[in-house]
Amino acid sequence: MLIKTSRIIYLLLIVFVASIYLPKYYWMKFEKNIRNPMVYFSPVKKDFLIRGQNINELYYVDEKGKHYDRDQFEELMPLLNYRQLVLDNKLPDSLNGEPLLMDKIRINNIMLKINPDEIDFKTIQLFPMLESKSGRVRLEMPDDFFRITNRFEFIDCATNKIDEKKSACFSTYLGVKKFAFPAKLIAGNPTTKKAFDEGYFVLDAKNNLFHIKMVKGKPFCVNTNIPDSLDVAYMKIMEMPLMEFYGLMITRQGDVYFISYDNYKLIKLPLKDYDITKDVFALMGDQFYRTVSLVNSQSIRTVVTDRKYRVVDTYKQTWKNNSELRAGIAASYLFPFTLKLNDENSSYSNFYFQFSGSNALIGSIIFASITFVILRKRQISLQKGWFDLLLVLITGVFGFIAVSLVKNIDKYLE
Amino acid sequence: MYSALFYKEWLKVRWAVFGLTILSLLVLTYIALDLAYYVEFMTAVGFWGNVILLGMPFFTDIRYTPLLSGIIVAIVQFSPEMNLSRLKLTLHLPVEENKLLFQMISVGLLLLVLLFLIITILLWIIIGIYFPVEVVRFALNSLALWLLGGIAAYFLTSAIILEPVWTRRLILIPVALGFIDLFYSSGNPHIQLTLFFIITSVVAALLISYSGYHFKRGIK
Amino acid sequence: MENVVEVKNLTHSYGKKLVFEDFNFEIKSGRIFGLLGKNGTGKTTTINILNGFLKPTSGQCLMFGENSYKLPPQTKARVGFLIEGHIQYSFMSIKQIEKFYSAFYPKWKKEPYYELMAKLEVTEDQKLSKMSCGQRSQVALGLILAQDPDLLILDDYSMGLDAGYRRLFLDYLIEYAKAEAKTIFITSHIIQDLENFLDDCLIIDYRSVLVAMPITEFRQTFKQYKFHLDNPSIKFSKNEVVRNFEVLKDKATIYSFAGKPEIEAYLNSLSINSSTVEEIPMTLEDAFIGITGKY
Repeated sequence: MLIKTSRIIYLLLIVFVASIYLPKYYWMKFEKNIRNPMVYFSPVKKDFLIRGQNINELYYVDEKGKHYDRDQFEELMPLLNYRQLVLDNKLPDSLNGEPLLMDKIRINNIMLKINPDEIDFKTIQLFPMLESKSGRVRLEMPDDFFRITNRFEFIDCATNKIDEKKSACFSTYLGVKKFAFPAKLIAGNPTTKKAFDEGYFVLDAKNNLFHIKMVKGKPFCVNTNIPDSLDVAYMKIMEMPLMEFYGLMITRQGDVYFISYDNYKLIKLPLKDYDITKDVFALMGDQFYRTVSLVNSQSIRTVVTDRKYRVVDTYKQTWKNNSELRAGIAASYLFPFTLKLNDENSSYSNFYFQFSGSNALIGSIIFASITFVILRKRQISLQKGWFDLLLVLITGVFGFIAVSLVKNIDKYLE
Repeated sequence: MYSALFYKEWLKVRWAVFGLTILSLLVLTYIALDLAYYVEFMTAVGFWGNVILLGMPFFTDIRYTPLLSGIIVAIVQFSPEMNLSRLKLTLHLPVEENKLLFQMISVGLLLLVLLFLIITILLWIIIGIYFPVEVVRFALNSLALWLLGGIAAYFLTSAIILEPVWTRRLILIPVALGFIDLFYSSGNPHIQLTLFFIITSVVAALLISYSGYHFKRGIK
Repeated sequence: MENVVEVKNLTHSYGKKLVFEDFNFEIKSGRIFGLLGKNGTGKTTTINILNGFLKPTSGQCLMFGENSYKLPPQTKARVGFLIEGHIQYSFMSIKQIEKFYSAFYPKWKKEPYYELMAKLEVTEDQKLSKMSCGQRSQVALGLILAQDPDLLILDDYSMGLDAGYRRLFLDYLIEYAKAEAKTIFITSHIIQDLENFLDDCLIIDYRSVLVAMPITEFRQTFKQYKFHLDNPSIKFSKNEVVRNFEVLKDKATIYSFAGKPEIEAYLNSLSINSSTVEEIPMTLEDAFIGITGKY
């Protein structure tokens, strides 16, 4: 009994290891580096421009397939490339009835990217509370980090001890503002490399969103009154000189909201089908438009809105990703499933299991048949060999390798 | 009878275990010194920022010590048994073979677990001097996988050594390598992965009885 | 008298190489049984099968009525085993090793062990690895005596021992065996010491059993005959009468179970002058060589 169990464990171990390494080495050999296109919206043409990559060369096309060279592209995207155009003396004075001024362009140009592995990750819940109005030009790191558990605690870095006074001060203040401890989500921009500091947006235990920062050493805490029914997955806070919004809020359902400076009013982005576990969210903005793209391994879907977030145009492009190319199709016959412990869409190591679909059944049946023949040749009855056969049927090539390497010893047992 | 067997195994491995304990203590001391250095060199808040916000590794020196420990204890414990005559001696003892094997394994396992416990506690203390519990927890989460890898390495190395047939050994070795590598190439494990690795490390012990089965049949 | 060991139709091959076929013998309780044969004839294989280390290709080997391949621990405790070369846990000391084994055997008696150790001029804490071959053999023997087994299996007890230790070993063993009526199974290829020790013997050759009988019977019935050969070119062959022969110039030697008259008749039938035939007494070693041949 023990020997049979240990043999089964061995078989399963081989299947496990094979299902990770075989696909891994297979793809190392056959994976094609597919470069995702980038989608731009030209305020000049009022149309899309797509940047693609052919091996190592970039090219620019429009929706109709007409090619543009780099200079033409830059002229069609003046706000993005304003510095180059100024250098070449090609920047127009105005566009679409609005004057083009360097400062205004700079302030209005924004870029924001969110990867799925940022969303699927819980960082260490310790943050620096910067002094947001120090009177100094540059922001400075404080001497402590805070956490929000059953109270608001500042821990001095040098001594690793809680600053009771400061902690009590903030805790009390938050209590007064009806903050329900502990915090569920804390989001901010913990760096000094920004123009100013807006502190943190914190979701309390009752799902209410609070804006918390430190002003002249004193706590600042405001309930944003954002509906508590939102299932917030992630928030990204970025202090921008534009001061239109504090940052983004993303729900688990794939809804994206700007948290605006206008009393924290939520502006919903007109996006559809944002899968936060797979899609990369990329936002480009200038003084005319907002261009939002969702990119994954086989498609890019772009929505362009005006500054009032009304949809101007949409674009979609799909392409064959690796699993749809020849190597991928061959793999779907060969590997009934693949297992990875690390995935580019998450910062966690976990089981990333992918079932290959019905193609694999053919491969499995072939391997199972070969196994059946081998069992017959070794004179192992079905009664004793059923597990091996079943394993090969379910796990295909992985089980086949396991069963071939670990001979069925049942015929030696008595 | 178990205490006699424990005694015999202890006699075999005691120097290796002492040596590995000293090694672990040295590595931990090195880490402690490193931390003190970083605090001095980067300022406390700078160091905290690097670790907490930028994910700077600061205790990874201990990473492979558990792996080395598992492998060495297995080698020191079971290589002497693979001499043909010694095998006969052990198999002649009036104890059922599998029970004998598992008793032997339990000795190595116990000693390793004790060592790993020491490593965990010391690392906890050392990091806890400089950082709050959130960081300690994060470090211990990574450490857990490395320790489990050491346990799995102990079982698998033992199974490899106990396997008398060369062809079967040649199969076991890459399987073991592939499996153990997973413990060390997975950062930030999700709790279910850690749980899975706990279960599989424990279950890997059974492979020893698979090798042990061939123990007897391999005698010529 | 019960059979402590019963071997029936035992056949074993390593792959395609046949070691022995249809081996049959019994070891009766209280007897000292010797398995004798040249190197490579299957003695160690037999011991391995007896101890359950090896599963025979076919046939049966029973020890105390149970399948030797699957001996339960309680039965194993009744068997004392001396491994070729007196192998023991050499990393242990005299004291440690006694302490170790005492936990496994319910009938353990440490007195005989320490009595023997006292004769060796070694300290309690001396490691086996730091002792001579001869001293180690005494340790191995002492441990077996302390175990007080019903059956002792000694695989080539003489390996690596000089004459003094060989004799010491046997002296102790004989005294022990007679006093306690133990059953002993011994293999060896050094025959001279066993002369007065064995009760039964089994002499094997490659793939066949040459002799299986009590030793006294073997000594009484197996004889050596020397005679003068007029015609040195006569070729002898092995058969029922002539178990072995040697011809050196004009002197011939024949080994046989037959009596002198039968030998004379046989020679006459080959037209050989049988008048010079003489029966020459043999030691056990002579007899062993006689039946197995010099090469």
